Amino acid sequence: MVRRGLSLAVHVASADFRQRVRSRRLLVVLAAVAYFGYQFNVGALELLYMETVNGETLNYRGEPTSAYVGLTTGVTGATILLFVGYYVLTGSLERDRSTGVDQLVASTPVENWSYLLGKWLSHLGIVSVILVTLGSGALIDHLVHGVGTTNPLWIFGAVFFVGFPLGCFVAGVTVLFQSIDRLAGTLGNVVYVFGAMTLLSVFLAIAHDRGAETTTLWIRLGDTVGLFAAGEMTFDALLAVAPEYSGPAVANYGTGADGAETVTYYWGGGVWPGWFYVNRLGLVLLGVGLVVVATVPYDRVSSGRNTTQTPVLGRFGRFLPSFFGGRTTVEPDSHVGQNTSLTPVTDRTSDGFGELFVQELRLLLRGHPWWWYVGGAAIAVVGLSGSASPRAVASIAAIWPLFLWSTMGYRATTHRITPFIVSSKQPYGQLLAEWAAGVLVTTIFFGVALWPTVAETGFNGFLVLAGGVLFVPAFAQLSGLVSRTRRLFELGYLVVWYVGPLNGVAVLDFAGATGETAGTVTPLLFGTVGVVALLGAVAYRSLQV
Amino acid sequence: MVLRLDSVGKRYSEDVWGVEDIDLELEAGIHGLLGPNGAGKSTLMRILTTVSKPTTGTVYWNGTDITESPTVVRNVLGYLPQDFGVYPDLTAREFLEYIAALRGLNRETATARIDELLALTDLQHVQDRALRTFSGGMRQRVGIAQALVNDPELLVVDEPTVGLDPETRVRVRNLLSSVAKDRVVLLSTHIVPDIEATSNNVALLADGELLTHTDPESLVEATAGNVYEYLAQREHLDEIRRQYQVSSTVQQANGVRVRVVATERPAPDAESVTPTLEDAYLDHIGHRGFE
Repeated sequence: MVRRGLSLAVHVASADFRQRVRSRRLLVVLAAVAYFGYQFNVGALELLYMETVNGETLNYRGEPTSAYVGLTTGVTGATILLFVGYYVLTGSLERDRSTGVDQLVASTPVENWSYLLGKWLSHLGIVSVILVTLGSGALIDHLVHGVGTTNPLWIFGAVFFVGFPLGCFVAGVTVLFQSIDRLAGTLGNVVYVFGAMTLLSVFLAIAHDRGAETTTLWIRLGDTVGLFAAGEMTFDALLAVAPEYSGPAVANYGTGADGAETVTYYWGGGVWPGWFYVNRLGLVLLGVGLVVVATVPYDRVSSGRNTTQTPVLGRFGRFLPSFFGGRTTVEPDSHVGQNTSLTPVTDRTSDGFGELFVQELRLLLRGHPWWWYVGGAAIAVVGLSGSASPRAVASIAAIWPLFLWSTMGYRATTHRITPFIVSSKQPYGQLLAEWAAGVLVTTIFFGVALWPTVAETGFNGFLVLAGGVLFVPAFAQLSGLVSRTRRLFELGYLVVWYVGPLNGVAVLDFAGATGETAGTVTPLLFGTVGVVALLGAVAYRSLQV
Repeated sequence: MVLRLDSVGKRYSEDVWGVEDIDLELEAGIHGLLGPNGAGKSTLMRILTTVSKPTTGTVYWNGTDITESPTVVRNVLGYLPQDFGVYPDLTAREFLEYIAALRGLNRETATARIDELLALTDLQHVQDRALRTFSGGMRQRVGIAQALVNDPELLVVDEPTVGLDPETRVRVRNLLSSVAKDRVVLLSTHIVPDIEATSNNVALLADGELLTHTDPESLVEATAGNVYEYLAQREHLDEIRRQYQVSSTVQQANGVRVRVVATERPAPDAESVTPTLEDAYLDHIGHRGFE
């Protein structure tokens, strides 16, 4: 039975993998990965040991031997998979739901574990394609710029040894989240990006505090992207050229400080630490374990999209009239096409923007879980009362509507409404109405957070508000339109939000959370990006019509 | 009002054409579009509704090129795609309101039309239910209602009766007939009786080419003398299917009564019968549908 289940899983994986590799979207992902790898290989972005001596920053990087290129590309691949892998892999179960394939599968003898295992294996196929792309780029780079003999075994070996196990883990998380209705959408994307960022941040902080060689085995076992292993393997080579080195014993990503001296050290390869084998095996097993766990919440019969559960506002709306003895629903005796004449329409010339705006606003606000509305109301109350830190309110107000924004642009595609829109008299009107609805929602959320800034700084504060309001909905709409998924926007937005409003990097603070952007060029830049994105969305619509 | 297609073609790749060199003139009335799977019916409909642009040729609505001026036809268009979607969190009424807004109706007119269409499609009692809870047939009726919401002068419906029970199917046919008096209706379907019951004209499409565009009577007449019925042995049925277009079979105690389209009498005891539109369709399409 297990053997048959495994065989079925391979069939599921094979079909899923073939479907995905024939998608042009994967080409875009691979192009982005290759570009990132190229930037890394040409030194625009590097793994650097850094120290400060007498106020001067010193950077240390390895000479581009096969081993060094393989090791650093492996760490890069793992980092890419940690942050982007979930978003690349996650569409598989969703696609089966939207195409109805899940219903076909549900009627077959395929067990849930076979189906989910198949999806996981398909994910690993995509992970392999990504790593092969990255490894191939590194191989070519070494042939062109490298030092010593080009050793494909070291390059591809390191890329896969570091990257693939993490891919197994991320694939497992993906399967698990997609199996839980609540986590299959935006909430899961938010949870994942928070988890990934927190995980990496914590380990980097530990590494910088203690150094790779002094960290405990347990902490090293949690080294997801291989930074500790890379540190442990190359640190002696670093000390050979810099015996007095006093910086962290783990290299970190960087572009090198401006004007800093860069010293190279030679590392021609070495033995992987024993604990790293356990670490990588653990990630693979964790991935399998997550698939097993996913079989518990996974519901093959009734996916989240087809649920008949009514949103809370709808239930409330129906509760009121019934409570007060209002409208009752009576089974009518009318039949299709009988005894009803149709009012002739003589005027089809209504510009209808106002009506369209109302409709789009309804679509934007409808269908979210009850706690989202409660949270939105709480943000409004707290923000307007001025009782909480403006920074905290602005940060939260800039993330809460993510559930709304992420449906923009992509909603019509996913619900197959596009033919109605492009064959209507208002294909551009619909686009602008959707954007305007997004602007209104953004203005409300950012407004309740930024009103103290506007009150305090006047026009400059208004520009901060306007920059955010112009930026977010247009960015969301263009991302949704072009990618036909909400994940591109969610990933991009979450990263900018995490770095800017949440962590206080003012140059990326589009929401004015830091209180440092009023009077600076930052709001103008984000506003400009928003206008360009809106024009991009209009241009994209012109291709559709 | 007239919709005219002049050498319209749509190429998907170097040597794959969805439709090719279609010349057609559609005046007021119901025009049935018949053809096997992959004949190009949906491609043609997407071009006529401006969802897709033709690679070659021109489509004119009342003399205006709709590729250059798509708004001309979008203003008066009702469209039911074969595979359409709905917003699952909207109710039936809200969804129709949304389409009415897209089609440029003011609120008063939209409300009146939606009330009537909900009644016509028997959706009044579920008008405030979210569309995600609708069955396939109910959803299809919402699709029909949205196609009619702006009282279109050009109505393009692709497989409108798919998923409907027989009674509702008949009523939808009647509905289409009743609204077709002074407008152009293009009805694509695999269900020949639907065309037979409603259409003033039939366009036959196969392999992306227009085989004929004529009235059903002429089509049937052209097949007169080519349709036979006779009693055959069950073991001969496969051979008969290989040799002729079998229109229908009826199991009987002493064999199978077969109805075939053939240019010559298929068996000595075969008797010539009056052809139906389905026979005429098979006669014209031949084996194309299975190639």
